[in-house]
Amino acid sequence: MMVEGEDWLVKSRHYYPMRALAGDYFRTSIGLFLTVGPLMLLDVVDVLKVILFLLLIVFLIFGFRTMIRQATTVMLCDKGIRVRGGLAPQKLISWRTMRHLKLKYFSTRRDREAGWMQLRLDGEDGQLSLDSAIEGFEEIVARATEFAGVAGLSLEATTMENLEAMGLMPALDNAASDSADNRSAYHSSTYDVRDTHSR
Amino acid sequence: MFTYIVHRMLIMIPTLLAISVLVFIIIQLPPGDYLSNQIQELKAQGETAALEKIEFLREQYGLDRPMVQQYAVWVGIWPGNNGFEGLLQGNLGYSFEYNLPVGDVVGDRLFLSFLVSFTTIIFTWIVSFPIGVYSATHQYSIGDHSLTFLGFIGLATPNFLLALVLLYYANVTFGTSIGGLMDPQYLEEPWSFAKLMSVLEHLWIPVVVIGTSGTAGMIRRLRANLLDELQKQYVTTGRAKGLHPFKVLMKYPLRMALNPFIADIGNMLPQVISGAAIVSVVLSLPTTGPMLVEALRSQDQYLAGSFLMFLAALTVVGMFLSDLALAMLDPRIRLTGGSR
Repeated sequence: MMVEGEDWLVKSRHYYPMRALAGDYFRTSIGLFLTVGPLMLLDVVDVLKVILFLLLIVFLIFGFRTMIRQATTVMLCDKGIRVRGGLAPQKLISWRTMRHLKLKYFSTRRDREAGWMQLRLDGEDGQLSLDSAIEGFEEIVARATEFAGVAGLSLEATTMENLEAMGLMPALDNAASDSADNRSAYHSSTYDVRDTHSR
Repeated sequence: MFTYIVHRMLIMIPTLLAISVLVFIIIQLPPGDYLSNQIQELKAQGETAALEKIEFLREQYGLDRPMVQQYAVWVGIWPGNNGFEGLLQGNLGYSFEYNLPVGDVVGDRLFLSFLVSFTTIIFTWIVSFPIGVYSATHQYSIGDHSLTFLGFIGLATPNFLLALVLLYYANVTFGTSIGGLMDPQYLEEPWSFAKLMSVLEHLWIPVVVIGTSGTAGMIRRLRANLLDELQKQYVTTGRAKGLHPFKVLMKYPLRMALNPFIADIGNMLPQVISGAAIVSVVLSLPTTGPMLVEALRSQDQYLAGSFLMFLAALTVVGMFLSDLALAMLDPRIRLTGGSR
């Protein structure tokens, strides 16, 4: 997709900070140590060899993904969001053609504390996934949510609750009330943004 | 999601290592070991010839080494008398009580334990799921009260008592032989269609006995969770907008109410196997439960240790799978008391 006009001018740039990436690099090295070590040094049983080999592949992919993140720049524009530095030369999601917005929360702890969010945007030209480790994540989510409200996108209940946890529901409500009315309100498994008042 | 999988895997591996250390320490805690107990018995009987063999075994299996070294050899990260030959190499050790490698002792028992456990889990879900949904959607109806009553009876009835009652009625009504998971003539036979049918004929009793209490508990939890969801505003909105009640139920509230089912996968696998030990003794089932009890009693350390490690691995893998399923099904942040 071509970037044309002033609307694609960059308003803010966002990067994954080295602090967050260092944790992922550390995890990669621990994973590699725990898989390559037994494979190289111990004559493990065949079933375990297969399991360790599969784990090794997973950790290698994770490490490679962390490297890609290090080179990634996310740019917020009036017209949409641009990402540069991944495997593809450039990714663009235009707010106007954005079809889905999903905000998920993951935590490995039993009390579900100390987790992280993942924002996924689907547009006509592809999809984009960002973790909350990126600098200015809240700003990106706020902007995407605002345009989701304007476009009257249906958001899943999970996304709504996570937005509420981030304190972004007012922005969504305001945007929704400003947007055009008369859309089909209730989708079976999702809420329309204007239904949030009833919750 | 991929990041979540990697994070979870990195927790899983050290957890297994820590469990292996704990298991080894626990089975070593009682004073002495299987062989020292044997020596005492033989000395009491005045036998000296067998003592040499026991000393040989003690050296062979490294029982004369320091505990840390014994652990390392058992896991397979330190060479034993014949090189690396621990759990990582697929060698489960030697059972002193049975005088056989642990792998040979466990043999068919592991498969039969899996069969009983897996069927019990399926039974629990198949029975509790529709009952739980019915009880929640027909709250305080006669059906709800009756099923709740049955559920409480299931929770309150001791498993071993139910086992004895079912054994009696299965024998009187269907002519099923008492105890075991197959007719006695198939015990030493290789697997065949007739043997499989005999196993299936006997299987329902342990499945019903072990599954009853779990089923009752699951019904109560599913009912409570689904009731919570059904009382939320979005369900009212959906109904008010004319959505079919079945669709309202299926699309979101039921999905959320499924969480305890999925979260239970991790706990269920080891619970069903270890919880089945007493029932297995009552029903004379050739499963691993009674074998573990006996191995712990007689300090047959490799048999007990390998089996406990198997249970631990099952728990860790089960928890991993259930966490993955939960993360996919419900990636929500929990709001408690107005804060995260």
